[in-house]
Amino acid sequence: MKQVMIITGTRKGLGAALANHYLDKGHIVAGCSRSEGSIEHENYSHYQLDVADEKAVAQMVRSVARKYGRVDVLINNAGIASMNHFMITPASNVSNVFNTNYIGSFLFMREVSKVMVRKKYGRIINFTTVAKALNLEGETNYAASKAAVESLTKVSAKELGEFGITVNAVGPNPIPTDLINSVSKDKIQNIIDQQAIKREGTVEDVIHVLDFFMDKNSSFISGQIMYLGGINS
Amino acid sequence: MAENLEKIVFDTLQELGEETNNKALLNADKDTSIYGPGRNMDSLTLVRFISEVEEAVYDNMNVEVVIANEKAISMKHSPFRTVATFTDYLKQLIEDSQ
Repeated sequence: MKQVMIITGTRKGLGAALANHYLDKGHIVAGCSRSEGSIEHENYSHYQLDVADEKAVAQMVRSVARKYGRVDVLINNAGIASMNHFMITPASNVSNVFNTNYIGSFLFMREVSKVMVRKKYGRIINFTTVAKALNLEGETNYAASKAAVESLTKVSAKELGEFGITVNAVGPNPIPTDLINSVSKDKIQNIIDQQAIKREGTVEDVIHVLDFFMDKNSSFISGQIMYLGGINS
Repeated sequence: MAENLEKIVFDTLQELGEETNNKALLNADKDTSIYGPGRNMDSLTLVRFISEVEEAVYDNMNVEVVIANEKAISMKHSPFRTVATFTDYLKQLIEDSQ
């Protein structure tokens, strides 16, 4: 059945790949990014906004809900990574990372939940990272922001359970996208060495988990964090 | 605007009252407690109420409001005490946003 989906961070990388995949499957996708959209499709609409802008997020979600009457799935993909030794990390960097990764996810969840509650149905999927599970050095803020997203996932799952809304998170290992362009090959290999299955991840690996969480039959699965590559927290 | 807001609030209370079979909400007047002493909503119904009113305000008045904002949370006397306090708060919120 055709689903109405909101996917954040769809201009490039994983978000664009996910949006194109679900559009190809016949779903309706509303995406967003700070800059202009890159996807042209009859079932795609793009909203130019900062995910940490409370008013803009509320307006986007209401606009989508009004247009289609519902939102079935939210994929909180938008995120920024930041690598630095914590002793030389400026506070502004901490704010930027938390604004996009945590506050952005929080705002979209809050607004989309208000729409999903009316239908007593919804699937929310957040993004975490193996950097949190592995406590990767040099990724203090990124890992901490995703730890916050994991708590958001687990606590909100309890608060939304009785409305038929599930909340889960996927934690990909390194996938060749813009997010990890600046990460050295040695560091990537170091992560892969800690995985049970020693290879880089693919977009298809992520989609497989998303499809599982999105499935109508996954109504009894909520508050779960699933890392790829055989990593445990 | 005040009459319009009252209608939005009472219509929303009526809808929630029917849905939850809550007689106090179905027969609500200005003094009916929402989330104050002797409250007539649990926390989940309050969440529903807030989101339904936000949507109705937009549909009827074309104004975007976020009701559960920092101001509401930090107020000495919660605006969610009674129908009257909530309606007053909502009116103020809309005036501030314009």
